[in-house]
Amino acid sequence: MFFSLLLFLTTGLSHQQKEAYTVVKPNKNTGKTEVIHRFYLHDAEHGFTAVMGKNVVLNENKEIQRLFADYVIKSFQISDSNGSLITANTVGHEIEGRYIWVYQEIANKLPCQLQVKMTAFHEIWAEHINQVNFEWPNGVKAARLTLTEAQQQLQIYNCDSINLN
Amino acid sequence: MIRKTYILIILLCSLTVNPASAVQQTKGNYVDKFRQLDEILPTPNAYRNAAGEPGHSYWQQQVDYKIKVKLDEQKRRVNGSLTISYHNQSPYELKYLWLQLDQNRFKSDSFAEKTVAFGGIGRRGPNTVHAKDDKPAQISLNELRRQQFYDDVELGYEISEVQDSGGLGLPFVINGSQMRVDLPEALVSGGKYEFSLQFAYNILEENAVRARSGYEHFPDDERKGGNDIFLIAQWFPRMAAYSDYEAWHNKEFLGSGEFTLEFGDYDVEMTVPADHIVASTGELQNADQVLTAVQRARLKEAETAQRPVMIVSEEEALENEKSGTSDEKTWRFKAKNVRDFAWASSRKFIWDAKGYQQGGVDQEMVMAMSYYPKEGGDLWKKYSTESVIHTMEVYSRFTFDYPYPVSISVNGPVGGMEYPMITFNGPRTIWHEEDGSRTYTLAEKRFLIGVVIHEIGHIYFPMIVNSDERQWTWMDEGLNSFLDGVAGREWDPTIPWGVEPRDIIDYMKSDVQVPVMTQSDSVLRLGPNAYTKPAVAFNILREVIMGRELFDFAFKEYAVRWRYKRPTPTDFFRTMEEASGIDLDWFWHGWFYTTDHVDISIDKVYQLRLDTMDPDIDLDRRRKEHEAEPGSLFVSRNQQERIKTWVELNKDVKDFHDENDRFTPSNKDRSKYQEFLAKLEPIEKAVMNRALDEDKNYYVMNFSNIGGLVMPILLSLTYQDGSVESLHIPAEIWRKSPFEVSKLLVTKKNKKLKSVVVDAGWETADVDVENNHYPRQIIPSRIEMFKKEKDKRLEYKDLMHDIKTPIKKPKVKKYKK
Repeated sequence: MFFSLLLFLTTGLSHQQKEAYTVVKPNKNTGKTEVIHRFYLHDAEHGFTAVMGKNVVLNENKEIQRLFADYVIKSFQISDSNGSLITANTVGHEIEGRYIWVYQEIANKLPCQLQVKMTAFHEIWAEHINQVNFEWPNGVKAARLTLTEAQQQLQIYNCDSINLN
Repeated sequence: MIRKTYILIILLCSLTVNPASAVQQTKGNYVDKFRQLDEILPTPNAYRNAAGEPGHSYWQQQVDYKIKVKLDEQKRRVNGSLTISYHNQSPYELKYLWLQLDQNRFKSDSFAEKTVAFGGIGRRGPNTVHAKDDKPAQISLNELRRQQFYDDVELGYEISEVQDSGGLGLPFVINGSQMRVDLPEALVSGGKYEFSLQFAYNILEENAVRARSGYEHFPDDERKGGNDIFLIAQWFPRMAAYSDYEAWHNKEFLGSGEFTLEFGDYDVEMTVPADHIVASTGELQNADQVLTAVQRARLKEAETAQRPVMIVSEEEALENEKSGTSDEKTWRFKAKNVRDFAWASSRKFIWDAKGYQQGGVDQEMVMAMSYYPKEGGDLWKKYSTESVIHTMEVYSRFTFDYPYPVSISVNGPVGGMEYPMITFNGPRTIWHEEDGSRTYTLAEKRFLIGVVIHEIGHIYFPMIVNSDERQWTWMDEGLNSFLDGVAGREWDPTIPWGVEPRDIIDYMKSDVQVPVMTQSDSVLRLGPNAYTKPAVAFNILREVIMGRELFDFAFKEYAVRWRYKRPTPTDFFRTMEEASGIDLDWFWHGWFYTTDHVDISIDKVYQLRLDTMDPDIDLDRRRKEHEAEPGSLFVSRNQQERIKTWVELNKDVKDFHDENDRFTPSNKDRSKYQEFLAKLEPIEKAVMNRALDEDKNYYVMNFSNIGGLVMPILLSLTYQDGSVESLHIPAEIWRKSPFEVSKLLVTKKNKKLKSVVVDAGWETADVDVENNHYPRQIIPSRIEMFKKEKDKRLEYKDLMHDIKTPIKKPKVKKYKK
């Protein structure tokens, strides 16, 4: 039986929150499912520095912000129960308050049973947790995605209570 | 149908959360959200009374320590001798004493190590991954580094010469990270027992093991072999606490649940390399032996300085870290009435100090000090010591005067950790290889100020208000996170300090959480559970439910009552109620004992109008209401098709009913009205006449509690004349109907209601904004708002670095003439 190595940053600073939230929520106004990723700026700055292998500052340097958003988007996947990927289109990103937000939209209605994967920062911080909330009316089904369980299969609560299309 | 399903779920949750409750609703779906906590809380007694204050027979132990310790820099090892004076102030005899051997938690066969599950959350984060599908199992490089460190360095305490004051050996048993010392004869109530032991252990590399303390190596320093910063904590066998509510606190150290200890006096001598600077809990006793005359003069100058004075300047520290010495110096510190003792040592330390002229009788001047390597740079020079002082200014207002002579911030490998009088804080500058400069981002500046405030704040909670971190992390982290937000906002309100209710809603509405009242080692995620959620709860208590005056008084009362004492959650809950005169049991239950969230919906608003009972008036009103209703589409289309009705075609045939509709008052109606008036008492008649005269608007608002957590209903009422009023309905409106409730609103005749918003200011952590509006509104989502206007924030630029970047000339595009 073999095992492989996970390459982590040695974390000198341990005060990062090391958690991020993603909210997946249907929007009846637009008929799309919105995906909103929220990262603590301090985490994002230190984490992305480690990911990039050089000091980065999430400032008005649009290129770094765009790279971070690309990184988040690549870390996130939703697929149906058969494993077929569901496309989430990029909308944009912004810095507000203590967070950096990254936005995506899904054009099609999500299946009620699906798989979600979110690996952001798992490769550098073993303890980082990405919480993904699927927020349908009268129920929030959440997945706590860790390095050890970066992908989960789940059933959305009250999935049929909303029909976008 | 949905409602029934929902109520059932809530009921099941309630039963699951509190399975031991003796009182249960066994028929129907009614849930009493205001049930008094007394059936959950322990019975008040002589040690802790019903008011939440120490009872008339309150007691706690006292433990005094004398320690001589040597830091062996070469071997990275601590060797010490320890004399403990244990004062049994309990009413009980003690046949044995328990000590905590926290370094044993890092032995490879410790309870904590043996119970780390492969692929599980493990100790402070998962480092291993199960094999899955076609992927092999994975182990992190950090985990391997940790294991290699364990292989190379023997960890845990070496304990020897455990003996009484006469030199007689004492039997002892080591059980994991604890040690029981059996006494020759029981220590009676009021008695004192003195014993001593020798201890030694190899210091952990903090970045390899993560232990809240340890050494950090700097291989690139000019000195051959580099230098270390040593942060020394949990470093000597410490007496376990013995209390009225738990007896010996001998719960194994598993890693998440931190510490609680006894107060006592310390006399500590540390022998370290002669070129090291030592930062420590306590007051330096032999400055003339370990400091130069210049350094002592600078310390004196710092007492009244406006800005921090450099005791060891950066240049001096840089010079110091270039070489080493085989000489040693012994630093001696004494600390009175502290619950622990920690220190740091390095030749890399820059050291600054500034006296905080606090006044008062407890400690008129506190020396605020910071110790940091060059890697801390200007960030530390400017803000560390100032943040220490700011923390004391704010916290003391909310609690009590800072009681100790020093208050210290040390930079090292630990991100943030607290001990009496001394804290370890991690933020550093960015080094730019190209020009050797050091800069820091605004985010890192905020982080430094924030973490120093937080860790210095911990000197109040739990280092003085001595709650039990092993059991209840929220009691110190939650209270302290709340107060660090207060201090942060008073530093610079433009910075997003502290926590707002909106910060916790994604966590609270999810199904992956545990109640706040969960033992520290069992909490799934300490961040949102023990820091953010309770801090938000206290914010809401202060700003929304109790008001600042009542909250601040009660909070201060709690701090003062339990200063140098050992409070439990019950004592906090009871004090906040008893000192404010507000029954908060519903709040404690909802926020701390359940995983409910806040989601209050305004479902409907309808208007009522008082009938006059006079048929000539009321029936005419009914007629007008009827006429205002839309007509029949069927009839309307018939008219459009010019279909003539029978009545139109036969106008010669008419009767009484063609002249009088169903709203026509009859004499019978009028007689009934007169009879009604005749039966009215004079007072009833006056009331009715006044009501008719005022002709007020009566609105009934229907609310539902979707989240389960009962909370005040904060209403913003907009009237047709454009005016807006606020209405605060206390949470008690839910007491007899916890899931649906209606409220009557009466306004003056010309004050017509236009719309209603629940929690317009996002003050209650309500998770769903859409159902807070009546009439419903299309609330643009965050993404819709983003698409409208892209927000440009500038405070995260590395301005200090970017400003030095040479200005580039743009390439000028040439155009053909």
